[in-house]
Amino acid sequence: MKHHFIDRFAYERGFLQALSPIIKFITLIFFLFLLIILSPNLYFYFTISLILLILLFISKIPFFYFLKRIILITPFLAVIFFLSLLSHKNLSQFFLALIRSVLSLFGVILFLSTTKTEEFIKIFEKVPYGNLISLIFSFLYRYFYILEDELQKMKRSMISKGKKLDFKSYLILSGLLFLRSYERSERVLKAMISKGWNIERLK
Amino acid sequence: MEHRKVKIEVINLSFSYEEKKDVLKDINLRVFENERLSLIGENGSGKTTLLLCICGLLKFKGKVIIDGEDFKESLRRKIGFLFENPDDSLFMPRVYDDVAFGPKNFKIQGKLDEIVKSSLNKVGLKDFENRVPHHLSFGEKKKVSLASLLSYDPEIFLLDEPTLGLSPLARKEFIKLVKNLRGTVVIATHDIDFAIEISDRIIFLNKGKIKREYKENFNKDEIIKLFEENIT
Repeated sequence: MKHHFIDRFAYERGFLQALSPIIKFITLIFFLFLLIILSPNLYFYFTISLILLILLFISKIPFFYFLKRIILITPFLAVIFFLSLLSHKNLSQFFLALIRSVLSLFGVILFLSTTKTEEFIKIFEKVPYGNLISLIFSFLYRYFYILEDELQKMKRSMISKGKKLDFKSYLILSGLLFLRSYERSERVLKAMISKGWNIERLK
Repeated sequence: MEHRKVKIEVINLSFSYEEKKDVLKDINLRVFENERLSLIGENGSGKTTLLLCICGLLKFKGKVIIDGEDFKESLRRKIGFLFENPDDSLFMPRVYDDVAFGPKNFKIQGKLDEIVKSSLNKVGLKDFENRVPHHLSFGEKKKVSLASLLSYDPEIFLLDEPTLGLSPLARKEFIKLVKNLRGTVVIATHDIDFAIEISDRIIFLNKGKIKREYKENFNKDEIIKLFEENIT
C-alpha cells in the first residue's frame, strides 16, 4: 500500500524548502508564541494569513492539500464551540480559538510539508534528551503507516466476511489494533536490543 | 565436524511463557564455527524461542555459551538476528538509518556512509540509502534487514524464517545471499527444501524438545514423514 508522506512537498524546489530546517523551526516556535501572547487584533491576523498564503504559494503547496489538513482540527473546534456556548464569554472565545488554531496549524503544515522528515528529526538531536525525542519521532513516522495498513487489512477482512462497519466494529478494530501494536512494540524492542540499542546510551 | 570450534553451546535450556508452560524443555545443543544449522518443526515447536534465547532476548533457565563465554551484553555484537517480519527490524524513517543503527550502537570503526553503502551493495540494493522502508517490497525489506546485520559484521547469524513470504525469485535471491554469509548460521524455518539446500545439519524440534537430528544426505520424504507423525 502506498502512502503520501507528510514531507511529500519537501522535495519540491520552493522558497521554504530552500531554507535551513533550524531557521524554519525557530521561526515556527516564535510565530506560535506570538499568536498566543498578542492580544486579539483582526489586522494582525489578516496580515499573518496573507503572508502564510503567499508562503504556501511560493513553496508550491496546493491550497486544496492545506484545506484537507485543516479539517483535522474540526473535532477539537467542535468541542471548543460547545464549551464556549456554556461560557459567559459567549462566541467571541470560540472565534478567537478558531482563528488561532487555524493559523497555528497553517504554520505547522507549512513547516512539516516543506522539511524532509530526517532533517526535522535531526533538529532534536541537538537538544538535551534529543536522541530519545528523535527516536520517538522516527517511530511515529515509520509505524503510523504500518498501523494504518493493518487497520485497512482488518477492515477489508471484516467487510469480506459480510460485516457492516458500524461503531461497534470500529471499537473492536481499535482494540485489535492496540493489541497488535503492543505485540509489535515488543518485537521491535527485541530487534533494537539485538542491534546493541541501550537506553542508557541515549542519556 | 566435532573437532571444529564450538561457537554456540546451549546447556539444559528451558523456557516457558507465562500463559504456556514449557516452550523449550532441557535443550542441549552445540553449533560449530561456520556451520549452517537449520531448526525445523511445527508452529509452536519452539524454533523462534530457541533463537531468541541464544540471542539473549528472553530470560531462560540453563546456559548459552558463545565462544566459550557465558552470554553477556558485550557478546551481542557477535550475533545478528534476522526477524521473521522485516517491519519489526526496520524501525527508522530511512534505509540508511536502519543499516547504520547497529554500527552506531556497537561503535564500529570506519566511515558510517561507506559501511552503509557496502552493506547495501552486498545484498544487491545499490543506492537504496534514502529510500523509505515502508515503500519497499517485502523481498527488499528482507534484504535491507540482512544488510542491517552485515553492517556490523556479526560472526553468528540467527535467521528466523528467512524465506517466508518471498516470491520464488526473491526466495532464490535470498537463498544465494544466505549461502554467501560468512560465519555460523542458525536458521529457524518451515521451508524444508531451503533447509536441505543450505544446511550442514538439520534439527527437528517437537513440543520444545529436540526430536531428531540429521547430518548430510538429507531425505526430504523422511523429514516430511516425521512432520506428519508428529502432527498426529
